[in-house]
Amino acid sequence: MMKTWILFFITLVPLTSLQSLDHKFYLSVTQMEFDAENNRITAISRVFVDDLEETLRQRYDVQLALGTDREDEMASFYIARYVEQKLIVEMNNESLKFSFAGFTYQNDQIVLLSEFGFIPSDQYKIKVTNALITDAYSEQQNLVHFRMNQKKQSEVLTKERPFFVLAL
Amino acid sequence: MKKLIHLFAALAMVFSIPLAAQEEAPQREPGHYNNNRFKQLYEEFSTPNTYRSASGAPGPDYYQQRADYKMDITLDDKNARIYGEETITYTNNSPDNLEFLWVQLDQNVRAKDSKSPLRNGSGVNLAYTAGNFAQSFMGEPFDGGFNIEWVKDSRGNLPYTINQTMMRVDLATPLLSGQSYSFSIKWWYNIPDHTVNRARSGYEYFAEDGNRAYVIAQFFPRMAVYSDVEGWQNHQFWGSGEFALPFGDYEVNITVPEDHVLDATGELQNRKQVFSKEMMKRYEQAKKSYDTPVMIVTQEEAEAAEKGFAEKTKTWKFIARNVRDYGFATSRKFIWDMMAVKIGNRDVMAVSLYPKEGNPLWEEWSTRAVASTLKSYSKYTFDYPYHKAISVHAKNQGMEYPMICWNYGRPNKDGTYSDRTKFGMMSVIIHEVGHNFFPMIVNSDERQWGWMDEGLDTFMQYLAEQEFGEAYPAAIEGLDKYPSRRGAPSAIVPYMAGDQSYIAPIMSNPENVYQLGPNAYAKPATALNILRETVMGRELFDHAFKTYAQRWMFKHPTPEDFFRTMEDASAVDLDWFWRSWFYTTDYVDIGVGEVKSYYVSNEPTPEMKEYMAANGLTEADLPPLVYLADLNAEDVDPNLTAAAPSETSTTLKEFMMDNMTEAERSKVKEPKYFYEISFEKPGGIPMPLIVEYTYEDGSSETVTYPPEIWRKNDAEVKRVISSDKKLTGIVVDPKAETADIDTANNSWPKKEEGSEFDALKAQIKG
Repeated sequence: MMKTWILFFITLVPLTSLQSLDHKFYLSVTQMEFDAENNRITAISRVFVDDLEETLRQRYDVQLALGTDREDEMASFYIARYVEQKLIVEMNNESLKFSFAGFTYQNDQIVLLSEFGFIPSDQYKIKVTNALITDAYSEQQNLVHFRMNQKKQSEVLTKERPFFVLAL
Repeated sequence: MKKLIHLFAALAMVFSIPLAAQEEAPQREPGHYNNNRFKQLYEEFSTPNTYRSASGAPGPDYYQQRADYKMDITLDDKNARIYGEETITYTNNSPDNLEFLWVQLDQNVRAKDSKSPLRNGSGVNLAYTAGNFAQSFMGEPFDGGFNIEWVKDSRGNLPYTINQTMMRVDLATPLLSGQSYSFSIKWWYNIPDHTVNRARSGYEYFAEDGNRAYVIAQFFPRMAVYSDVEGWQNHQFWGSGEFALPFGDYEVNITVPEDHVLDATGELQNRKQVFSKEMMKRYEQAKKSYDTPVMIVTQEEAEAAEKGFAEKTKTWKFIARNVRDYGFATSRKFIWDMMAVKIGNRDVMAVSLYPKEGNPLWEEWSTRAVASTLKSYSKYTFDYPYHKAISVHAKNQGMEYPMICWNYGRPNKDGTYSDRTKFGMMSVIIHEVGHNFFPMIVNSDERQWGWMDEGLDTFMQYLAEQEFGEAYPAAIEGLDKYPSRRGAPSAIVPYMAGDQSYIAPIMSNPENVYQLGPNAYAKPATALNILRETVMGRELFDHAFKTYAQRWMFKHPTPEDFFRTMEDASAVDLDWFWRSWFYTTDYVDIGVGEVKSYYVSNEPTPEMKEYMAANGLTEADLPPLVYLADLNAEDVDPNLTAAAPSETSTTLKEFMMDNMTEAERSKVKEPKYFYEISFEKPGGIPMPLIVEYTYEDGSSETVTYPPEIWRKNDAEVKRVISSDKKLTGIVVDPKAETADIDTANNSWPKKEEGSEFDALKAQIKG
């Protein structure tokens, strides 16, 4: 039984809401959870649709029209491929297998679901890398909240420092 | 006597008595300040004075300065440059004599040596792409900023000192209280490309036809505010904190290529000179068209004009009265439409300017959105006092000036557009036109308090959006109401529940906060919505809000003036609300804890027996008492429950026989079920406690306990309820009105909540 940790996530303010403002925020939020019951680490990433669209356009030279009714049928393929490369979880010095559980839209954000299965062990040295969007926008900041055993660690990852080691 | 005292004590202790346990020598707690959440804001609020009253209204000595401008502006389209000459007449209505004047040079934020980009941190990257490296270290910075040619008055040149975006003009003799002073400035500057760094004004270059569309503001040196609260403004323009500006009259002549279509703040004085006969005819038509916009310049005409590149020029002359700023938009690409809208007993023109790239969306909805917004906002505040409101299409922009604003919303090249684009455009137009009310007319200091205009405007925007959806069902095609993104209390939960190191109180300077959007826009807007729907109710709120708007129209209010007026006009004490919602980063988390059931009994409860033993009392010492005993205690006969109290308590039966007539006895409603419910408040913010009780027969009732219920019980409060029906469920805040960040503790019996991840996963599959 997993309690919903609404308490600990920040959602993004969409670009389109920054009326009368000069500066755009390049920020994403990823909530990660150590799910001991199911031997997996889950991640819910919220990214601006515009930013992901532009990143994939630059990277793969595709116009995916994310979130519109003309959305490309290959959208899932490209998104999964991209997230796999940019969101990495290592446990005890080994990369965990990435499994993409789909995506959906909330306001101006795209919500990406990722799962990383692991084998139970005595100790868990976990390293999380989140380099989403930093390839297209070097100012991008990726906020990661990692919840494990009722405790939470939050980190702001950037292009210069795209990973952190869990100290919980 | 002793018995009476015991009787009182006994009657008071019908429920479980918390026994004072014998503790070891207790640690003495230190004393404390008054930390009650309902404490009045005497310490935080500025002291009322004769400039600003304790009621929140302007005081008898309230003053404000005035700045009038006469300007001649020339736009050099070929070189994207503006030349200007102005005479400023500044009237000192303050009781102070001024030795110098401060003038704002906002374009200097774009100067080559601007410190603005330096105010944020940066680090060395792991690696750079060639392009990034070139941009970071080799690029030529844009040569922006004002080039001041001279500053002089009737006697000659004036000494001036420029501190980045502020210029001090030193006066030969002080400007005495009550006097006016005129001086002139000549300047030019390079217009920036606003699509590059989202500057609030500039041009967009359209490579396909080689034309620029200009949205021009912050284009002239303009007076800073001198007030009773700040003295002279001394905050630079760094980019996030916006503007503080005095009111005045503007006479502006703008010279542009003769094939440009231009609109600006103010009334056009020489329409016959700048309009063709055909345009004049259409204009007269538009003035009488209340339902459909009339094209003054059609798309065909605009597309033909795109090839013009006229060498000759035309001068457009405007006069604007009682405005705090000035903006204009000009391009040969512009399509122009207008419609009349009735506000009070006057006609106001709703206007839109947009290049063909804005169609088909803009010709359909822009002017209609302008008109609807004027009507909605006027209803809640005051009749829009100016003669027109313009919406100008500009890429990635959302910015406001008196009577004119820039808005984004561009369809794809093939003319298709997503719902996101459509509603984004409608929302930004409503928001920016709404800014005419806050801060263009209710003129707060945006540089200090971003929320006073953004929060209030975003709150009104929500109401205006809902009304727009009702007025134009075709705009929200298929939906049953306008999909407003902000306003619903639950939408602000993620921000308020988030990492505390990234949130700041609303009462913070906009330059210093991380998530400025939620901080200055969404949270105050949501707080006001909750105040309106849940705490004060619409009638009290609307009256107080209108009082505020009308007290401070064409004046400069501070946060206290708003906070005080809302209480003054409603008799609702709101200090606790302002404190928690505006001065802290506290959040709402209210829930239901333990629910204990009781039945009526003749027999003293165990707790009562303990009390009697401790005080050497026997039953004979006490008068007949009625007890509510714990239903879940051992050895409780289940048949005792669900029986009428008079059946299970002879004491009560005897009382009723002795004190009520037969008729009364037959009519009396005896509750059979008694509950003691604990409500908890792990979150800081006190809110009305809204509880929905559901009973065995399926019926339910909602009771709202006022927020004052928490005033002596900040963490937990208990309520007893009695009912003739068995209670089966309790839900706190059933309609999600309070922005409760954790609903896991809101139900009794507790609801099992699954993981958010699995819920989302299921939603995607399904």
